[in-house]
Amino acid sequence: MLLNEEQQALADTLASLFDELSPATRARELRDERSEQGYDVALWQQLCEMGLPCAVADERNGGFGFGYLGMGAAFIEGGRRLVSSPLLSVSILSTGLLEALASTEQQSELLGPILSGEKVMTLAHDESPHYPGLELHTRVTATDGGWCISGRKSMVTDGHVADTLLVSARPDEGDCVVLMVDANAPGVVVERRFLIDGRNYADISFDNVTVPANARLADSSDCTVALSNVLDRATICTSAEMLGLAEAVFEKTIEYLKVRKQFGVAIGSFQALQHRCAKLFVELQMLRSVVLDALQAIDDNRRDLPIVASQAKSMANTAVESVTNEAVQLHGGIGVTDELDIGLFLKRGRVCRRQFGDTAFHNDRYARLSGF
Amino acid sequence: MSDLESFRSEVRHWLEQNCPESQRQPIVRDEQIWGGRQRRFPSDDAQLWFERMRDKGWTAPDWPVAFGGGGLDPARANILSQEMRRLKCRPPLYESGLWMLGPALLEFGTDEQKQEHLPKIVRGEIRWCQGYSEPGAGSELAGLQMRAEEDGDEFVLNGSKIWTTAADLSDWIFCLVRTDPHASKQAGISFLLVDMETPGISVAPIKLISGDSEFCQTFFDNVRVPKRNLVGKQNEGWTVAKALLRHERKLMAMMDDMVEKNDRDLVEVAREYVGSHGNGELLNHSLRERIAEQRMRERALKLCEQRIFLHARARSSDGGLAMIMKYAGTSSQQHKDALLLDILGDRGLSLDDENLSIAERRDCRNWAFNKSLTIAGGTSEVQLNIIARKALALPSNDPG
Repeated sequence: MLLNEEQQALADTLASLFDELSPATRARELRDERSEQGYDVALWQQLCEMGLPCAVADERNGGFGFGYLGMGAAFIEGGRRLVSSPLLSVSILSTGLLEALASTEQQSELLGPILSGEKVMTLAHDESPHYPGLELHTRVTATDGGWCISGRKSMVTDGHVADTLLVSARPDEGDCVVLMVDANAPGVVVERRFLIDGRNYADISFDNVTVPANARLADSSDCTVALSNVLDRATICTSAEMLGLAEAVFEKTIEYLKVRKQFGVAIGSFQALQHRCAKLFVELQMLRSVVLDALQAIDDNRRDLPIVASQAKSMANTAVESVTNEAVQLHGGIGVTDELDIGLFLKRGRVCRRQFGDTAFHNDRYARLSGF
Repeated sequence: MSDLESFRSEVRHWLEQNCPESQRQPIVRDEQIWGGRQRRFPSDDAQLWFERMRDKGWTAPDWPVAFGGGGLDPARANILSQEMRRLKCRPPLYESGLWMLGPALLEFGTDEQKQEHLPKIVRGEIRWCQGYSEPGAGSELAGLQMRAEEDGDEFVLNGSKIWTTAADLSDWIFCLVRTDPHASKQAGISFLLVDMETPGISVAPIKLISGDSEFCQTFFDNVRVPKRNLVGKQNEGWTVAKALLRHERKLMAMMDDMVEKNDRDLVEVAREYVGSHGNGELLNHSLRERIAEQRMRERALKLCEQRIFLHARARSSDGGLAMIMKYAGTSSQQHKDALLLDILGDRGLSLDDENLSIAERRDCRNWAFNKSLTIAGGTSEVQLNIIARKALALPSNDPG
């Protein structure tokens, strides 16, 4: 659960890079600009030049084995500063799925351009309004020499900037398959959505979209396992982002309590407020232990990964809810102004809670996977 | 083979030969071996196990041989404890003299005090209890009022101590007393050893909401104690008390291995009392979700312990993590106790109804008894104060 020297060095490098190029205030600019891409293009280019997207890729695809514990630092540090980039879509979701399911030739053809930042690829998985797990309504049927996809995906992160979409769908037989679809293919309609966190999401409908036979990655039996595994990794990375977000907003709140004076004293000296903060600290320490262990579980290929992922997300959801709510309340009047960054953390936290499953989803999944 | 390795194999061999099978079973509350003049061994095997360990000095493995201890260096003491855990040997003696007073005497006691008291502790002949809290001094321990006035070679004690564990079964008590009523709070306190047979001492057990009465209130009415029973300097007892509290914390960490385990599996109990579907899913959805959250909480705490250990080993800061453990661990236990009663329904609502199973009554007793967990050894509120001050560096308006 402790970072080694290399991983810690990566975390430190990213922390100073983010401080310089993408502090939390940058999230407000991106929101106000309603920028075309919906993320920080310059920052993403820089991260690609550093090779960050390759950090957890296979060695044969140019990866350099930092492991998820190391990559987790990127999400934690990014979460602390509300950094937006296609890192999750490209490195965790797309690379993860391609490495698990695509042929070696496909991998060498497709991974290069996305890991270098030239192209963006993402996974279109969600279906409105709630995270579906593996129960999909988007259908895929066999046609002469290919496949036909019909359905509607929602909340596709980086969906409106992606060049290529990986689409999860339910086949006639089996649970799910993943297909590769050109975002400009006929029948694909992409609608950008503007959510409270100012990032980029799209709803994407597939109206009898036909793709060639080799667009379907691997065979169906492998696919459910691989998709489930990649979604667990993404769930854990999102929990890591949420840990960073919660810790940062908590620290900002503690600093505010030390300087804000009422009744002639710093309000942080009031025991009623101290105890609320101390309880949040307890919750955050427990979350930190769980998230670090979950990242480690990916690196160790542990069999309890699904259950560990659900625990991490459930606890991250709960902690983010309490910490961001308390951050607003403890800041008082200024806490509800847009001038302050606290609101940005509140809103990003709210979107993260929905991503990859809310608390009820993960508590239910945790119980089911535990056999009760 | 290195010295330590051969020591390990000797120890293993000796324990295998000398620890009776019955003393390698999971710990049961009523079978713990306590010392003192009123001691009764729970079984012949228990007595045999105790006596064999006592004769090697291994009731206090790391105390000097001169005082009856085992004289083991830290590495060897650690090996003994590892091997005992491996064989699941029960502790040969439960005694707060071993855990708390002894280490303080070794650090602060006079030679006479060590000679007089330590061997009797090791041999389980004298049982000690602790006299710290008073009716008016709980969380604010330094506000204690029990007076010890000088009279020639003696102190004269007046006042009372509360939450003295097993005072009715103990032979001696170590007390914090006020020797200078005019000094500031911590400054006027001394640490005193008192024979419970001294005239003027009386003990009243306190009945708890769980039906237990292992705590007492102990009254002191003109009790005369020789000055040579002072540990450390007069009016400097707070230093001794603080050292002793450090040992108490170490003890709390060991305790996990020393107490009866109540590992009721919530899911198994819920299957029995609320039922489940054919696929194993529990019928009651609210209880199911609470059990899931409880399991997550317990697992998170285990991971926190691991993280503390890893930081300690790497000699890096844990960022205040250790400060949460008392608060988080005791809250989690109380959540579990309450959840268990909710699962048991009407079967969890009696301490003594013989129509209920022993396990059901014990669950009810634990629920009530464990209310004390968030009060004893530093209340949850004090723990939160500590986190706020030390981990978060929030400012303070009051002197405490």
